[in-house]
Amino acid sequence: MSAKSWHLDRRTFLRGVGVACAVPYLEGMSFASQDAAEPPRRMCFVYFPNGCSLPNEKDEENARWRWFPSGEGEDFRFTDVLSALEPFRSDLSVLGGLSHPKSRHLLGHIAGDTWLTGGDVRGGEYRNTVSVDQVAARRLKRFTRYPSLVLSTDGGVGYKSRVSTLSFDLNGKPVPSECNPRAIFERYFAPEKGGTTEERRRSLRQGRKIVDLVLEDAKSLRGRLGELDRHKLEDYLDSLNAVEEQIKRSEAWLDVPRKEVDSEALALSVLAKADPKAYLRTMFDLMVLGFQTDMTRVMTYMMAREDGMGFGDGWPKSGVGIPRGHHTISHDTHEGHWAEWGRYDQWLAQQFAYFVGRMKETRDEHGPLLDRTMVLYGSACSTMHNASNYPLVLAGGSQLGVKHSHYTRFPDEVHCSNLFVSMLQTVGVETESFADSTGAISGVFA
Amino acid sequence: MTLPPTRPLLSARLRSLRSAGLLLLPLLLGPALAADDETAPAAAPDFELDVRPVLQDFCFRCHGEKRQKGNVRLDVLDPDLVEGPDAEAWHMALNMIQSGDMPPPRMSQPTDEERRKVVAWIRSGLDAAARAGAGERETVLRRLTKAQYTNTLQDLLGVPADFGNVLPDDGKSEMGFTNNGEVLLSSQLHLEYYQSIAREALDKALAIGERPEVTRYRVTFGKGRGKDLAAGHTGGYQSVPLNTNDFTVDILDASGAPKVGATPQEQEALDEIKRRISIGLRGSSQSRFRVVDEGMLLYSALPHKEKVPKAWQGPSPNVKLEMQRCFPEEGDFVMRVRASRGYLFEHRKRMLIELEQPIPLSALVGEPVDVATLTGAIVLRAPDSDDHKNLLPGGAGDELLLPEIVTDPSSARFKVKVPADGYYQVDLVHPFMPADAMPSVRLSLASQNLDRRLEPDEVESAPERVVTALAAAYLPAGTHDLRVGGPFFVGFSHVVLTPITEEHRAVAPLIARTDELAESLQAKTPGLRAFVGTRLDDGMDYKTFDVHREVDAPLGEPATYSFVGRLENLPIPEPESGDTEVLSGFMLLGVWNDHLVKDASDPGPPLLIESIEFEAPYFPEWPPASHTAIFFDSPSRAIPEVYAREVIERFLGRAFRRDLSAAELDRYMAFWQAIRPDHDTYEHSVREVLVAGLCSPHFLFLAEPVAEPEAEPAGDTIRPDEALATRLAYFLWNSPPDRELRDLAREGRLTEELEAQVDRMLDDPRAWRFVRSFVYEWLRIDRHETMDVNVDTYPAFTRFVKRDMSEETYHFVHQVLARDLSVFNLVDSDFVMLNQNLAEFYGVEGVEGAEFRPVELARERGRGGLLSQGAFLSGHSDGSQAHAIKRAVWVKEKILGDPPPPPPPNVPELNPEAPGFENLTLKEQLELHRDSPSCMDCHRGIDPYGVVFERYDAAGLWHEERDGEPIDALSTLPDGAEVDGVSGLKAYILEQQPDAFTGALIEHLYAFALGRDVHFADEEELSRILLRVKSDDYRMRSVIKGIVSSSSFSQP
Repeated sequence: MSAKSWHLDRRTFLRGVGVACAVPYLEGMSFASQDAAEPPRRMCFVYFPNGCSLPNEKDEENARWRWFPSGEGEDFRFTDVLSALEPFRSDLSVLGGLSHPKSRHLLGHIAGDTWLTGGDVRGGEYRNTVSVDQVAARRLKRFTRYPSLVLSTDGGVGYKSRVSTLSFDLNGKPVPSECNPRAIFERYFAPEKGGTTEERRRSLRQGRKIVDLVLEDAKSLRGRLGELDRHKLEDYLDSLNAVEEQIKRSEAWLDVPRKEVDSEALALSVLAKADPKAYLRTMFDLMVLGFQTDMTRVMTYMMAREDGMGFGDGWPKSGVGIPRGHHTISHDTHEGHWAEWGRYDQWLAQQFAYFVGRMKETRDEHGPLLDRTMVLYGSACSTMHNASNYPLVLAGGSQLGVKHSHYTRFPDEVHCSNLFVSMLQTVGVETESFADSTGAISGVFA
Repeated sequence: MTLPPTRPLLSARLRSLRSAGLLLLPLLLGPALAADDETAPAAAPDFELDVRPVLQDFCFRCHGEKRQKGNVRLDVLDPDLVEGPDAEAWHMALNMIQSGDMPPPRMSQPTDEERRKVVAWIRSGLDAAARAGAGERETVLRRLTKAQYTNTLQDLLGVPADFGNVLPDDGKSEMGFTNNGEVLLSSQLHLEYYQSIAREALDKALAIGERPEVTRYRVTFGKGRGKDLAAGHTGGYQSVPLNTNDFTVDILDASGAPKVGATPQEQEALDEIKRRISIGLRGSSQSRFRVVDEGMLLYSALPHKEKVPKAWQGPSPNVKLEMQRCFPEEGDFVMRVRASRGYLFEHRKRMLIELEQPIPLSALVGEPVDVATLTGAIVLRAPDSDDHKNLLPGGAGDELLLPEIVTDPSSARFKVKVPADGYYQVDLVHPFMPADAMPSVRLSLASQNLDRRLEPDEVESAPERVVTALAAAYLPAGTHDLRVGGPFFVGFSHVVLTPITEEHRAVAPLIARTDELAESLQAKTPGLRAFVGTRLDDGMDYKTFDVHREVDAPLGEPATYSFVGRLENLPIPEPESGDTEVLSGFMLLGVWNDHLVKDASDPGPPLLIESIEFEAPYFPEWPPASHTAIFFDSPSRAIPEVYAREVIERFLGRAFRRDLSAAELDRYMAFWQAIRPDHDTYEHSVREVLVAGLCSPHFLFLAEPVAEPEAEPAGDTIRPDEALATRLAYFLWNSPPDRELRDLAREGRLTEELEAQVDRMLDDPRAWRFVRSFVYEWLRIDRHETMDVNVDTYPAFTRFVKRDMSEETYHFVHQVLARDLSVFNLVDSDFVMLNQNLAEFYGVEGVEGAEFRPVELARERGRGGLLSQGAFLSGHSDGSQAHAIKRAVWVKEKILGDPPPPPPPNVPELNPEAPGFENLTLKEQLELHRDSPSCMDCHRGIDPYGVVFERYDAAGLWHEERDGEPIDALSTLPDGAEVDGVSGLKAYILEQQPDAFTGALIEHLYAFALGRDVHFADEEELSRILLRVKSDDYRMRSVIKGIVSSSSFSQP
C-alpha cells in the first residue's frame, strides 16, 4: 500500500526548504544576464483521461452535465461540471475544438500519448516526438535548479499507447514520471537530507567521480556491441550526460541560499488509492511549492491514466461514491450515465480549482504565482474515444499577456499545436512552429 | 492423487504458429501447402506496377490516409523490406491476406492473380530481408528490469530488502513483457536512483563500526498477570485496547533476560518505555478472542468485507503490539510467537448461565430444604459476607441482610472456596417480597454479572423464606469472588451452591454442543500469519511478512514460531515532524489466526498465544554474513592495497557476472586511490568503489558481445559462455547466475550440460521468481490485482480470496513445470491448485489449511486449466459483471496466440441503439454488436470466444442459472465449430488447436527468454521448438529446453 522511500534517510524530516534569491552563474551554460533579472515565465500541464461528459446539445435534461460551458465568447456560463472554476473566471479561459490532426482518428486512449507532442503514432512504428514542456524546459532550465518536474499518479512511463507520463524528451522517448509525494519532496526540495552545504558538495563530487568512471566503462563496452545494442547504450550515455549536467547545475546552485518556506502542512504520506482528494492536493501543493521556490518553471502532471489503468480508475468510487470505474463510466449507456460522468468530471474540476486557487493565493516577489504561469488543464479526447474537440482550460499567465474570461471554439483548421506555439513564444522560446502547427493561435494571447 | 496422463499427439498436421498463419518454411511444409509455392512466378512482381495498384484498390480505403482500421495503415509502408523499417508490418499484412481475413469477405475481392502477385511480392521481400539479416533481431542490450535489479542486489549482497521499489515502473512490450530490451529505457531519474540505492544498499550489507544496539521487547498474556505493572493502553476511535492487567511487558537484554532497573530512576526509565507498548485488537469482535490464565485465545480470523474503514482494520480478530516511537526503522527483525493449539472459551467463559427452566433446590437435595443441615452443597451465610454496601442486618436473629435504601444498589461479598472443577447451581434464600415491590437480585460471579427480576408466586400468606434458583455456573477449583445485591435487592439469608451433574437440563445441551464443536475443531489446525503496519486514525496500513505457519503444538506445550522480516520493506510509520500526537507514531506488530473462516458463527480451531517478542535489528551473527562476504578473510588483509584489489575483484566479478580484465581492475583501483582521501575509513573508501561498480553498465545491462570467434576473449566484456550463463539465469530465475553456472561457464562446460542445468535450475526455489514474473505478465495478473470487485455484489470476495486467486495461478503453472507435466494441463487438467480459503470461495469442500496443494477434481464447474481460474476471470470482468470481450481477447492473445487488433476509434464497445437493449442477455447484445457493420469485421472473430465464459460471474464463481433461466454458453467459433461453455472450448483447443496453443506458449516463453518480442525471422526457430515439444509428448520442460537449445538463445 505505501510506496516507501526507504533509501532516503528516514530520520530526517525536513521542515524548511529554500528559495533561490538570485540566479547563479553557471559555467558553461549560456544565459544572458538580463534574463536573470526578468521575472519568471512558467508553464504547467495537468491531464485527466478518458474524455469528458458531453451529452448531446439537444439533451436538455442533461445540459448541466455538459463539460463545455453554454454560450460563447465572454458571455459563457459554466455548467455544473466546471462550476468550481467560477471564482477564477477572470483568470482562465475555456478552449474548444482543438485537437491534433494526426491523432484525430486514433482510439482516444492512444491520443493521450500525443497530448503534449502532436506526434504521429498511427503507423506500425511508434514515432512519438518531443513534448511542448520539454521544449520549454530546454530554454528555461538555465534559470532554475531543475529543468522540469514530470509527475503522474502512477509513476514510470506506462507503455506505448497507454503512457503514464505526459513528457517526451527531444528524441521522443518518454520521460519517467514521479508519483510518491515523499520521494518527490526529499529529492527536489531537500536534497541535503539535513546535511550541510559542505556535505552536499562532497556528495555531488562523489557522484561526479562515479559518472566519470562508468562513462569509461560505457565507452569500452560500446566498442564491443552490435549496432542495435550500441544504439541502446546511447540511451544510457545520454542519461549519464543528463546526470552530469544536473550535478554541475546543482553544484552551481549550491551556494545560493534557500529561503525558508513552510512545508509543515504538506501531507506526504497520503495514499492515492485510499484518499484521492488528499493525494491530489498534496501533489498540487508540491507543484505550488516548486514554482514558489523557483525550483523549476516547467511541470507536467498526469492525474490518471487512460483506459481504466492505474489508481485514477477507482476514484469515482473512492472520491465521489459512484460504483463504477472511470473508464466504464466513459463507455456507459445506462439511464443516468451522463450525470455520473458529469459528477465525476465536476469532482476532477474541483481538484483542479484547488490548484488554481493555491497558485493564485501563493505569491513570490513578482506577485501571485498564477499570473506568471500558464496552466493547461484537459484531456486528449472528448467523449467516447473521440480524439477531437479536446476539453481544455487555460488558466493563469495574465502578466505574460494571456487574455482570459472567454470560451472560444476553434475550427478544425486550427491545430492544438498552434496553442503550444503561442505558449512557447510566451515563455520566450523563439519559434514559429511546434509539431504540425500552422502558426500561432489567435485570440488568446496578446 | 493421479495426474493427467500424457496426451497422445492430437494432430500431426503442421500448422502455423499463429492461427492467422505464420509463414512456414519449406522444410516444414506439408505437400498440401507446398502447392502455394508452385504458383510463384519466375520473376518477382514489381511493387509500383503490380502491387501498389492492388493495395490501392482493395486496402487503402480502410488502411490508408483517412482511416486506419485496426490501427493499421498500409499506404505509408516502405516497400524496401531489406533496408526499410516495415518488414514486420508487411509480414502482418501477408498473414491477413493469406488467411483470407482481408479484404473482408463482404468487400470486393482482388482476383486470384492480383492476390497471388501481392503475396509473392511480400514473400520474396521477406525472404530477402531474412537473408540479408535485416529482419534478424540482434539481441538488444537489456537493462535489468525493476524485479531483476532487486533480485540481483539481494543475491549479490545477501540482504532481502526491496531495493528497486522506488525505481519508476518499466514499460511493457507489445507482447506484454517488461524485460524487453527495446522498451527498457534508461533515464536520468534511473541513473540517479541507481547511485543512491547502491550507496544505501551497501550500507545495509556492510557492518562498519560497532554492533548496533538491539531493541528487544516481550509481551506475555495472562488473565490478571499485569496488575500494577507498567504497560501501555491506547484508546482512540474504534480502538479495542487490552486491559493492562491482562499482559506484561518485558524489555529484554541481548541474551533475552528481562532488564531490571538497578535504581528507581533506571526502573522508571524502563517503565516509561513499557507504557509506550500497548496491545490493540481494533477490528476484532469481542466474541472471537479472550485473555485466559494461560494466554490469549484467538479464534480463526474472519476477513472483513472489503469496505472502508473496516477493511483497514484487519481481519477479526487480530492482535498487535502497538509500539509508539520506540522501535528501530531499518534492518532485519524477528518476531517470536510462543503459541499452541487453543480451546473454545465459549463453554468455559459462560461461567454464569441463567437457568431458563430452574430446577428447585429441593429436587436437587431432597425435601425439605434445610440449609442448616445441607451436605454436599456450599452454603454461604449472609452474616459471613463482607464489603457491604447499602445493607443492614434484619430478621429474627439478624440472619438476613436487607437493603437500607431499596432503590440504591446493594452489595455483599463472599470468598467462595470451590473444591473441584464443575457446574454448580446457585440458589438464593431470601424473604418473600410481593411482585409490586420489584424484588431483584444481581449475582456477580467470576467477573460476570447476572441481573434477575424475581417473580414470586401469588400466595395468600407470605412464607418466611423463599428459595430461588438463580443460575448455573461453571467454576474451576479455587477461590472465587461472589457478590449479591443490586438495586431493588430483595435481601437474603443464604446463598447455596450445589454441585450439579452435566446432565442438568440447562447444562447438558451446552456441553454437548461445545464438545461436538471442539471435537470437530480438533481435526483442524490453527495457523499464524504475521504482519507489520502503521496505526492510522481509522484503521491501519499493514502488510504481511514471512510465511504462514501451522501451529500444531498441543495445548499446554507451546512452541516458538519465528517470523523474520525487513523493516524497510514494510509500512512502518513515516518519520514524524517532531510534534508528538497522542495517537500517532505507532508501529504495529501483529498476528491473526490464519485458519481463515467465512462465517462469524464458526470459531475455527482456536489458537493460544502465550507471548510475542520483537527483536530488531536482528543479527544471527556478527559481523553479518553480508559483511564477511565482501570483506572476507584473506592472508593479505593487512596489506591495504592488495586486500582492496582482492575485495574489489571478487565483488565486481560477481556484480558483472564475469571475470574482470586486469586493465579494468586497474581502472577501478585507480579510482579507489583517487577517492581514498575523501573517506574517513578504509572500508568506506572501498565501499565507494563498489558503489561505482553498481552504477556501471556492466552491472546494469545484460550485455551481449558481438560474436567474434577469432578475436581474443575480450577483457572487459562478457565471454559467450558467461553470457549464456547470464541469459539462462535471468530466464529461469529472473536473477543472476550462481557460482555453479559461472564455474561451468568458466570451464567451458555449460553448453554440454545445458539441459541438466535447466532441470537443476527449475528445481531450485529461485524458479519461483521466474514463474511469478513470467506468469504475472503473460496472463495479465495485473488486471486481477488492480480490479475493484464490487463487494456489495460479492461480499465473500475478500483481499485474501484475491491474493489466493493470484497464488492459484502461480502455483498451477509452477506445478506443471515442477512435475514436467504436459503443457495441455494449462488448457485443461484434472487437478486444481487450492488452499482452504480459495476452495471455500469456489465451493469446493474438504480442503484444509493455508498451503496450496493439488486437489483432484472431477471437472465439475469447468475447473481445471488456466481458463477457469479466478485471477483470469475476475481480472477480465468490470468488477460487477463478467466481460465477455475482455475474456475473449485474452483467450485469443494468450492461449491461441492470435491477438485481435485493437478497437477502432469512435465506436463505443456496446452501443445500445436498439430499443430494449438493456434487457437483452449479454450473448444477445453481442449478436447485435456483430451485426453492426463497423464492429462485425473484428468481433465475429472475437465474441464467440467470450460467450463460452457466460457461466462465470465477475468474481469467477460458477452459476447454472441467471434470473431463473439456465445460462446459455453455447457458441459457434469463427471456423464453424460448436462449443458449449468453457469445457467445450477446452476440448476444442485440445482437439482442434493443440499446436496453436503450444505455439502461443512457446512464443511467449521465447519472448521472455530472449527479452524481445517474436518476429517473422524467428519462425524457423519456433517451428523447430514446436517439433521438439511434440516429439517429447508436449512436456512442459521440453518447451524450456527447446528454447534454451535454440540458436537464438544459445548463440545469438
